[in-house]
Amino acid sequence: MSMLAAAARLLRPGQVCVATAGAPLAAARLAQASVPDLTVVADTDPDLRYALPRADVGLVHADQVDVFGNLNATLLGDHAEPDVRFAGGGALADIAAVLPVIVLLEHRLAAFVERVDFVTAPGALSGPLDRALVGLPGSGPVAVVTDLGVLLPDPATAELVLAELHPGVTVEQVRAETGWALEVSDELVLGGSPA
Amino acid sequence: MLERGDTAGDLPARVPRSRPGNVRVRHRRVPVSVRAVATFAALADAVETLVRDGTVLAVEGDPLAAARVLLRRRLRELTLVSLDPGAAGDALVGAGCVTRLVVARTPGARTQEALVAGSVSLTEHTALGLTAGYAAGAAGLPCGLVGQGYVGTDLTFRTVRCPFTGRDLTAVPALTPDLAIVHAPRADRAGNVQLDGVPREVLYAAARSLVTVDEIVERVSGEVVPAHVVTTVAPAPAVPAGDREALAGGPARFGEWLAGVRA
Repeated sequence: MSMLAAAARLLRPGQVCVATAGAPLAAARLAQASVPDLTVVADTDPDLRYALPRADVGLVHADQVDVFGNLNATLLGDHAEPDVRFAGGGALADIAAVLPVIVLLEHRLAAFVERVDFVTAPGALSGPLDRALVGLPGSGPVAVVTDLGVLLPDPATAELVLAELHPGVTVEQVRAETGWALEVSDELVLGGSPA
Repeated sequence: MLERGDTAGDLPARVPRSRPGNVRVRHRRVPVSVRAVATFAALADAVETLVRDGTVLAVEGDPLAAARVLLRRRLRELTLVSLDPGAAGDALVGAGCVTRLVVARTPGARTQEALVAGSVSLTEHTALGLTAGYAAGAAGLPCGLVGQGYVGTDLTFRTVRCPFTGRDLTAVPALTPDLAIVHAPRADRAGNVQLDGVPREVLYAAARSLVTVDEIVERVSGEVVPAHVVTTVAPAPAVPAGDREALAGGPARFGEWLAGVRA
């Protein structure tokens, strides 16, 4: 299953989905073909601030994600003297602050790190209670969909664990591209679940 | 120099206004607009009149034709304010016209290089934060408020407490650019402007505004900003087909392109 299809499968009938440009918006449009009454709002909509409180789910891209689902779309290296600059957050933090988000990115070691270089948008921060402590609703990303599989947060620890493998992908392959000691769910789904 | 009410010779003339007592108005254009004071001008003239070295310039809607004129004029020390500077903003940064960015995104390769090199300073906002800054500037308030977009991130931000609920909110300083340059699909002959994907607040927040348009039509619809908010409307000259490709290329290609624009 392609990454886009795997993400599209997670959207539900009647939902309002805010999607960032690129692969997330493509996945949301793909989902519209099969999911009834799915509304897609692009993050560049000038009325996004009025759409967000009414939205159900976010579909976003980031350049880096960590074990707690914190997202980096800003930079690599030192904050004041970065080695690399990315395209920046735009509405990413606005979305991830208030909505459950599905994150879409290629599964590569450089992108799946223990701690992001810069928190552009909050995931679970450093543990399951942290969001509530700083006044954020929800618990961070609800899924991270990659070209290798799907990671879901463990409710007890807020850490992302491997929950699904795309066809032909092994656990070892995913672990080799993940920068933390990736746990595997007891209910690991192989080769994509039924829609 | 352009004065309010001037009309460039070969551009569409202003539509005659109905006189007091003339009750038979055949078509109303924009309900909120009772006067139309936007000026029409050629883009190069408008830029010459409105932009100086050091201007705090908001750019929205990726006004690449206007950026070409700014590049030719070799403007310096601009502050660029934008939700997404686009190819236009990136070209200005790449040409060394910009010393400060106030933005929500930095997608351009030259902008990213300049930030790594430390040759431009940066104030980063979230998209909603920047929009709230425009809205505050537009409304004459010192700051705008957003709920939670900065909380838990590594962005620099300050909070205020809501006196009614006790909730902490992020305060964003009002943005009041000297000039907004916005690209829009069309304007009518009175200077009412139809926007596409650009927050209307930027035109209200800026002291003056230059809107480049693809076409001038009889009637505009959709998200319309009334003419009295717009300083100057300029038809956007067609941008050469290779521009966006050149701007997506590497440093050598950009240098070549910039030399061509300035030749």
